Amino acid sequence: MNSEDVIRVNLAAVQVWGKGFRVSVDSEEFQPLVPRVNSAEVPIEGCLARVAWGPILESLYNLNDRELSLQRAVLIFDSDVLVIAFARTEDRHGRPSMVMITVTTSIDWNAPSLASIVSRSVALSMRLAREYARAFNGNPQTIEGQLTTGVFLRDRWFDLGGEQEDIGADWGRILSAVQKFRGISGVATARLLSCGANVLLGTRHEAERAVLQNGGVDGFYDVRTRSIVPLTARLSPWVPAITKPELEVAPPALAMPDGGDARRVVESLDRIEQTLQLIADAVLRLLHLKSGRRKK
Amino acid sequence: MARKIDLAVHLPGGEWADIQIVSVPGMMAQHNWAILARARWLRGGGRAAFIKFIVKADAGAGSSTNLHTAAPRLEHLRDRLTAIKGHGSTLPVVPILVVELDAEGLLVAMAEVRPLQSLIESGGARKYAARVLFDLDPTAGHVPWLHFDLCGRNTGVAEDGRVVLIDLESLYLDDAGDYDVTVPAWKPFRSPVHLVRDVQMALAAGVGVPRALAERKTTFEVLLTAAECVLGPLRSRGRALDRVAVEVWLAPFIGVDPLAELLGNTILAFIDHGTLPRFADLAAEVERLLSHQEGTVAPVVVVENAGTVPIGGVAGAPAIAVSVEPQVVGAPLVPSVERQLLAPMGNALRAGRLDWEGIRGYGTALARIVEIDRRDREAWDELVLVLVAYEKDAARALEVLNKAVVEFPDDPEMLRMRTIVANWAMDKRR
Repeated sequence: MNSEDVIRVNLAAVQVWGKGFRVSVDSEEFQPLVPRVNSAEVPIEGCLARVAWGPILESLYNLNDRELSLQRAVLIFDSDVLVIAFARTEDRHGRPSMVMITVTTSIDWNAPSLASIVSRSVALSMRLAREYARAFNGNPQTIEGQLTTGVFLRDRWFDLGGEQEDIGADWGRILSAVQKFRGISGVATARLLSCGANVLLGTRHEAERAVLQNGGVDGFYDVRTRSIVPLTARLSPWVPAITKPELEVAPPALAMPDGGDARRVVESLDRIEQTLQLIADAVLRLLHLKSGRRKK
Repeated sequence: MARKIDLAVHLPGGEWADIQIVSVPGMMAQHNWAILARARWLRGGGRAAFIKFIVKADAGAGSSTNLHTAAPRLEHLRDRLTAIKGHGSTLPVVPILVVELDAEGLLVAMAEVRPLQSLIESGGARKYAARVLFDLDPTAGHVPWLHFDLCGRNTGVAEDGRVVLIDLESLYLDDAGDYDVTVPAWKPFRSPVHLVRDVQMALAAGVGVPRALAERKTTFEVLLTAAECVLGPLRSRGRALDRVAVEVWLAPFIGVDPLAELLGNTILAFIDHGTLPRFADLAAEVERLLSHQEGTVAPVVVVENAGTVPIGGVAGAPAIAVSVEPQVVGAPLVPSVERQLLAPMGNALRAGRLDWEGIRGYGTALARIVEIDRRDREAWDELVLVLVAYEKDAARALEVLNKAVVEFPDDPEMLRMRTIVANWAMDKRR
């Protein structure tokens, strides 16, 4: 990695969402405040335009500040992550309102600093959410003016270098579990799943409840086993790349199956892997139940 | 009269929080063209910052205001500070967070540091004597610099423990062999007469301060600041610093404190002969003496205004002027005398001038007093205050209160305090 890459990795784009400021015709709608229009600079932020925010915000209003600070959402893309955090504030009429911060940063899945980058992005998003929630409280006119003229946050790129790491989740283990599966769009706690994640950070019970309520949950991260448990076939383990042994003598020509056969073999291996995973999970649950009974 | 500036316009809510104005132009002193404020910078993990906003001179401003704040001077200053910022930690300078010039003035934001002067005044700067010499050695780095007014007020201790320069307007980088000093404000009464003469001649010539002279000036000012860390603040108000003033300053330490003697005699040698030892050698020797004298209490807390130090905390009680001579830890003292000697530390604690080590030292001294005189109720109270409010050590506070309750079994206030601290300690254990 050259020095330019290092600089790029340490920078993160911040987006601020909220409502109640008269900065657009539909100021009472939950909307981006910084930047106010979708920017081509960070295209993956566009994925948030499809999210139905109403139900998410409704579910967050019931949480106290501590519970709210435990919510996490990290949307995962090929070489970027988009982290989401919320904090509670009030509008000019004293009604509860929410501030949302997104932090988008480039990642390298093979870099040793991967977990640290994600963890710092989460910490930054949560810190700014708290700070901006204080600044937005009551929709002050000064802030409204700054948002209207675009000076509230003139440069939305933040250096992650000075950030502390998030101590609320073990991002090293979570990301290492994520790396084992394909089909993961993001990981999130139950109330933020609808932001675009399909793996729940929580218990099987929460995951099953989420499936019943909204669907869209393909697995959960089990903190006991520190692994992702798939619930649907949309999550499948990556097949480890087979490295060719370096032979001095050219190997004899093999009759290779055609592409369709190879695909079938891979799919069947995937299914075996998933079945094994489900069996292992069932055994674990049985053991858990047994030990629970013994305690009683 | 300076025009009204809304600082919030220059410190937008997305970048800054907890803005507290410290002073506005004309509020503190004459020739004050800046708004000073404290704030938290929301970048870099959320850093405590000190803000200086220099208001640009109006069209009809006087000559003095123009000298300091006219547009060309602010542009020049912006460029100089940007260059200094670019050097990062290769210069012994407070981390500069933001430098921005707009139509109303120049915004300079820097990381908040502990001003060295407050540590010198509270007697807590002794351990920084060697760091002052190491960190501010003008000949050490590869970027030559001149600080035209180097003293305890213009230096501070950064978050990482480095001693750094904080008055950025007086900091100049080498400009082809000399320094183009635009505002020659300094304290000649802290320099020997030969140095004052040479500097004034260089300024009068108007061709900049030559590098050799700049090094000599800075080196002496660094030495004096290091000495103040050990001897306490130098009170000198003459036209220049003379031998008598230094001898008076040094007298209480002769035969008592070899470190103070070393620094005092080095200053005297410069006043008499203009000679200075190699800084690295001096710093190494200071460090050796500091480590050798670790058991020595930082001396010299001279309370000049006796009216501000009520002893015993009784309303209307006569105030006593306290002059603390150097004492070695463990030397037997009558507790009441030791209490009196500690009064300035109590004041420094309340004024937020004691550093962590100072607070611990104060707590240890109070613990010793209550061991000797177990009926000294005020010492118990003060010790509990230190443990609860400053050290935040619930277990030790409870231990102390358990002992205090034995001495004062019928004191409802003491019992109430113990219950509260016991609950807190239990809460912390959970």
